Formats: sequence, C-alpha cells, structure tokens
Amino acid sequence: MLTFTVRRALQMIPVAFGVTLATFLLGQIIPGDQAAALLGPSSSEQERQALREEMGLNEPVLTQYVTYLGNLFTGDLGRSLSFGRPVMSVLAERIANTVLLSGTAIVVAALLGVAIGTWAAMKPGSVRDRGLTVGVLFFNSIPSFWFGLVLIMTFSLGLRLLPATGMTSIGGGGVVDVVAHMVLPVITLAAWSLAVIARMTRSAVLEVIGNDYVRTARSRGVGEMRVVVRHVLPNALPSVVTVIGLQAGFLLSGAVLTETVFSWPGIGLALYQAISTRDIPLIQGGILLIAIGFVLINFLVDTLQAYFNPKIKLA
Amino acid sequence: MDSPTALGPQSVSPARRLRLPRLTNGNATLNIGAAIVLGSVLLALLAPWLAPYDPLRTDTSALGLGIFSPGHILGTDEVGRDILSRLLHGTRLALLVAVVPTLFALLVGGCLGLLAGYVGGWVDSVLMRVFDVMFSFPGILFALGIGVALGPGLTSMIIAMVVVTVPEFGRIVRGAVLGLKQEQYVEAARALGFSHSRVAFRHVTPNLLGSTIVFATLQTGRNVILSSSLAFLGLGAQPPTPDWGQMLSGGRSLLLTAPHVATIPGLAIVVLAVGFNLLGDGVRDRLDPRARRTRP
Repeated sequence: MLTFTVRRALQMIPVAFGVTLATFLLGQIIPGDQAAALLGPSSSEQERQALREEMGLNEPVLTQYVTYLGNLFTGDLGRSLSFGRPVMSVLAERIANTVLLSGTAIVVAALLGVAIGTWAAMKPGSVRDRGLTVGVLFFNSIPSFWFGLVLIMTFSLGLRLLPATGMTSIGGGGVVDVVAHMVLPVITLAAWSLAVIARMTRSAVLEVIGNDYVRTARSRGVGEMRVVVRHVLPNALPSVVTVIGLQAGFLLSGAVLTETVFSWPGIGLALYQAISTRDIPLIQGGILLIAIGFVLINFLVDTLQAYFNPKIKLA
Repeated sequence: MDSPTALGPQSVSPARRLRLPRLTNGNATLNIGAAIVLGSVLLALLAPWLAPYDPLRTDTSALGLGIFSPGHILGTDEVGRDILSRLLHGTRLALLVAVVPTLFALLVGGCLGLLAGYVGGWVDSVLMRVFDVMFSFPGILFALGIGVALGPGLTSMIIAMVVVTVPEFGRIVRGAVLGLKQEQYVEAARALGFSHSRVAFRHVTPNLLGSTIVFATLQTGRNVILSSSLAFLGLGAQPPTPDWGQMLSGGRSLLLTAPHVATIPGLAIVVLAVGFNLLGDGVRDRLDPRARRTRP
C-alpha cells in the first residue's frame, strides 16, 4: 500500500509541472502589453519599459518560467490588476467559501446518490428505476447555471423562501443565515453529480445483487434491508468511490458557474470577475489553484480505491 | 420502456419478429432523439423565413414584454428584441458550436488515438502522458483558460472546446484499437502483407466507427451545455449575435419582472441537449442491445 501511495504521489509531479506550465503559457499567449495594462493608458513608454525590466518581461521565456515557478513555491502568484493586491491574498480569503460550498455539495450528492441508486436497483424496471433513468437524462442535459436561475426564480423571487444571492444577509451572518444562503447553490451544484453517482451506484449494486452469497443470505431469511446494507453495499461501493472522487473534482470547477449565478464569494466568482476585467494574474492563480485541487483529489481517490481494491496495487 | 416484453405475448418467440418493430417505432429513445435533432436542424435552416422579426432589431417601446404579447409570441428581451426570432436564429449557432467542435475533436483525437493504439511503444506512452496532463485540468476550467488566452469570440471558443475534448476521443479510440489489434482479421491482413496504413485505415478504422459515433453523439450533447456555459461566462460569440447562452445571461437582469427572458433560451438548451443525448443512447442501444441491461 505504501509503495503504491508513494508511486502515485510521484506521478503527480510531472502533472503538477504540466499544470504550472499551462497557466504560465496562458499569461504568455494573451495578446497585449502587461506593463501597459498595469500602468494604464496615460503612462509613458519609458515608464512601461522600466516596469517590464523590473517584472522580468524582457527576459527569455524559459527564464521567466523558472522565475514563475520560484515565485509559486514562495506563494507569490503575482498582483491582481483589479483588486490591486497580491493574488494570493485575494484567493486565500475565498478558498474556504469555495471548499465549504463544493464540500457540502459532494457530501449531499454522495449520500443521496448512493441511497437513490441503491433504492432504484432493488427493484430494476420499476417506476422508481425508470424515474432514475429520466432524472439522469434530465440532469445530464441541463446547464447548471440555468438550473440555478430557475431555483432562484422559484424559491427566492416566487415563494420568497430562501435568499437568492450572496453568503450572508446584510446585518446577518449567523450559522442559520449562511446555511439558508447555501441551500440553493448546493442543490444546483450537487444535482448533476447526484445523478451520475446514483447511476453508477445502481449499476454497481445490480452487479453484486445477483451473486450467490446474496441469494444465500436471503435464503437464510435475512431481511432485505440488512442484505443490502451488510452484504451488497460493501461490495458495490469501491467502484462508486472513484466516481464520487471524480465528481468532487468536477464540482470544484463547476463552482465557477454556480458561484457566478449565486454571487457566492468564492474562487469561482473571483475568476468570473477576473475574466470580465481581463485580470490575467488572478485568472492564472484561480485556474492554478483549482487545477492543483483537482490533481490532489484524484490522487486521494486513486489511493482510496487501491485501499478498497487490492488488485489495483499490482497494476 | 421498450424491452421486448413490452411488445406483447404474441411476439415472444422468434427473434426475427422482434427486430422489425424495434427498427420502426420500438426504439423510442432513438426516434425522439432523432426527431429533436432533425427538427432543430430544420428550424436552423429555415430561421430567416420563420422568424417574424430581425433578431437584432431593438424596439425601445417594447422592453421585456411577456409571453403571448400581441406581435411577440414569446415576448421581448431587455432591449426589446423579439425572443422567438432570436431563439430561431440562435439555433444555428447552438448547432454550430455543438457539432463543429465534435467533428474536429473526432478527427484529431481519432487520429491520435489510432496512432497511439496501433503503433504503441513510446508514441503511445508520450501521447497518453500528454492526455493525462490535459485530463488533470477540469474541462470547463481548461476551456475557460484557452478562451481567455485567445480572447473572447466564436473561433477561440471552438478551439478551446476542441482542445478540451481531443483527449477523450483519443482515449476512447486508443482503447478500441488495442482491442481490435488482437482480432484475427487484423492479424490475417498483416499476414497477407498489407501495409500498416492499409490495415489501420481499411481494417481497423471501419470497426471503430460504431463506438466512436455513439461517443461523438453524446459528446455533442455535452458540447451544447459546455458552449452555453462558456457563452454565459462571456467567452462565446459576442453581442448582439443571437446566442442562447448569452440570451440567458442577458435575462438575468429581468428575473423579477420578466423571468421568461432567461427561462426560454434555457429550455431550448435543455431540449437540444436532451435530443443529442437520446440520439446517442438510442444509437448505442441499436448497435449494442446488451448495453441496455446494465444501464439505467
């Protein structure tokens, strides 16, 4: 297990370099003069040239990349143009909000997804099983940002049950207030993953439920609930864990859309604002942070899966 | 929904009798999907004749009109443009940004996958590592980065979508090629002395088509969502081009007074995505009836 974990951890290194190279190149490809963007249109060519020299923009690309990497290791992601302060500090105050939102969403999606998938698989071909099929198709075909807007229209503007946007009300800010603000974005973010997890659970449970030991358990008169919980699920869940992990990664990136729709003060919203103001350093930093999170989650999933399924370790 | 038992007791025995009804009306998934997609293509082609107004014409005396307003069946948007006209013209763009990236990704990813799977060795290793790195970026974020780098616009959005989806096609095709390489007819073709390119394109490629077409159709459905997401974030076609994702984004300011402005383009996106997803599922069921047993 240790060998596998170490080997898998080492595999992250080239991928992480690839990710940093990609975000670095992003800054290189973008047309326009960074110095001019920083100093504004009224700056003189002399000032721009001085700043370029200071920022190392006149150095060869490779040197710039090495400098970029060196800065990364010290936590320096550059300066945000629109916020006027280090990108790291802008992202640092938002990362907890994004983790809170996507974390809650993945927990909700995993718990409900496994429950619904199992429930559907217990009666294949039944009304609830077909309901799942339709639900999966529906959530597969629905843009999350539109789903979020429909929820806002229905529950905030129509029924006035829940707040529409933001994380806290003006003057509010208690736990209850934050939870109320979380309900709609969490539903929006979780819906798609929930459908995927439910579908995977259903297939996994169906594969296991036909086994002899399940029949044996039933023939001994073990109740259906106990059969499912004690005999079927432990054998079906390992393959579901992978899907849940993958979904956790996608949720992190899906947060860009959901946070935008609900004005949730996380990395995704900052990224959206950075795009509209063409705040390149912030875009680079935001993408880098989410991508690294994605890589770490994938590592965790693979390790967990190897723990559940020893066969993988040998591969 | 369309299992053989649904055909009734009289058609239980011979397999031949089961096949015919499935081809005509038994496969509801395929038929509905095909109807939606063909219908959209038709609407897109006929948009200039069907649309009652110029999709770009603004009318300041008719801002945010509701559904079934006189002269505007689906109402008007935040600057007084006819929603039905914009929706119809938007069908063209919606189909374009769903289908074109799929075709390019299919071509590029398919060739790379064929190369990796057929040649193997270091070519395979290098390509797969590159794909690994590309996969380590979540799709929408990757597309977002490329879209920002190339500047907002239709072309850069399409390029971004192609780059993001190429590795998926590459992997699918590579996996299938690895399987096909073991087949006897491929070995036989090699033994007959056919060149590698002839074996790869004449013997392997035709057998890849089935699974690839299914995947491409489903990917087109995902592209409908991806493109509208990117347009919503402001990276797609620029205003005032009638684009569903952008119409939706524009309607956000009218959620309270005219919710239909954001709702209608969203519904259109869902219908088109459902269409491609059903079509893909239906084609898969036709090509591989076994798949439907384990899949919900």
